[in-house]
Amino acid sequence: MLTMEEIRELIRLLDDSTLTELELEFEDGKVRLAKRAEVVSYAVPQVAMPVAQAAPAPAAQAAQPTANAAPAAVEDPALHVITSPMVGTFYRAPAPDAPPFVDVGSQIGPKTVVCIIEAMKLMNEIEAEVSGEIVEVLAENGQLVEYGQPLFKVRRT
Amino acid sequence: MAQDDTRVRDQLIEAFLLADGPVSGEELSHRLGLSRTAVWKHIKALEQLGFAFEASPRVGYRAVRIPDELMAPLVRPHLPPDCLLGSPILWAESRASTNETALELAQKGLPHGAVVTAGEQTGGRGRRDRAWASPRGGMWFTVFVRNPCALRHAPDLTLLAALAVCRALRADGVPVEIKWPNDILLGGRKTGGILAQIRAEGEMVDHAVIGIGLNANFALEELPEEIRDRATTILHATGRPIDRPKALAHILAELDRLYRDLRDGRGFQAVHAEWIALCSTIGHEVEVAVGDERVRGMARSVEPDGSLVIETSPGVTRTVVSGEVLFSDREHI
Repeated sequence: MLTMEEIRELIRLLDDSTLTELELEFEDGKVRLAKRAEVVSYAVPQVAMPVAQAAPAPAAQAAQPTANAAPAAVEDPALHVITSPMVGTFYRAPAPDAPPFVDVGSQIGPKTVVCIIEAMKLMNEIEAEVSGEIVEVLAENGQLVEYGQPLFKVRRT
Repeated sequence: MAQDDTRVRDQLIEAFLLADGPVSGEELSHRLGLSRTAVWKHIKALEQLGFAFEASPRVGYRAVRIPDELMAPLVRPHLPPDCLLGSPILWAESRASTNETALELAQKGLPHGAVVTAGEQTGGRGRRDRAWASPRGGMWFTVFVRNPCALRHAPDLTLLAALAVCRALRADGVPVEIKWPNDILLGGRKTGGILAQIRAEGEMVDHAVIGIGLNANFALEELPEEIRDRATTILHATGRPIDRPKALAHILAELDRLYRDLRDGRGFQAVHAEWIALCSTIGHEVEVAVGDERVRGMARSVEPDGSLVIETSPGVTRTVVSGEVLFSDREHI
């Protein structure tokens, strides 16, 4: 196996490079280093995502970052939680003085835009992906939200 | 203008560009499959758009002035043959907003690489729906891409767009810089902005519109008075206009390269060092509005994921992914 000094050297090399991960195999084991959000996959326990969040499988190496931000399971099967797909600022309306996209009581369809998440002047218009009625707004306008953070509670129809 | 009229107009412009000398009305009518009266009407329409022709009896028409609008036949000759961006290029004399048009067309099957351009925007918008003055002489365009990358890399789309603009304009002798995350500065003043809107499908970006506005060839006085001390135009700052169709082609060529690499998994990280070298925000005192909160401190670096690192007090840093740099110690950075 590698010595600590050799591992440190590898970390320095990775830091200075544009690589996001580095995996080395030896006869007696292997070392895998990855940068930032690229969480080392085998170190992360599998987190049960809520059923409704059954998104298409992410790319193989895309370990779910900040797994602790995943919402608690919703007990009522008719209730669905719309979560943030990315880190960014949560906006409930298209403009500061415009009415919100949706509010408690709004009827929504899968293509209804419910909010915008902004990161680096990239506006991600979030679609509901389910049909139903908004029963609760779970984040504040202008607030920074994390990956997987609950934004709206929806009663499915 | 109807789709057909646009096509005829573009073909007509192309015919004049390719011609060595005058082109006869008969030849034009044959080439375009239109009557000579119809050709004449189209020529009159081009004159309304700033073209000028010399007509000599029995010889034909010769284009003596071609305006530098962001029209397909004027941009395309400058594009590398393998460029995936810039087909089609949809120009209109005036649009409310090129992003808006692109989003509408996205629902009707607009292809990857399409570029929507406008002579002027009457409802140009910046972040949070703020008005963005878009008079004639500027470069107002939106690049449309399908399935560009995974959602977690979506911010790369705007960071790379800023880099493409810098590369293209700097190669043309205009020393622009980047204000984090994607404003384009010239001499410390804002001369361009980028606003991207995306729709995601699961963990992937389904499509994205990348709106880019550049204050190119117009006088400073065309901008609203309240921003004139912080904004500039390329013409005002350098004293010379740029060739807009050529500049657009160069930006698209750079962006195409960067977006292809992004698709192949080499996005912002791969050009991190170059980007940082062009970013004038680093090393300055800043105040960043993050939602309703203000974060003040020294901008220390930009992370490989594009977020800005601010030292809020000695040894304490805060990383922001969203927000706007309001001011800094050096004016207008």
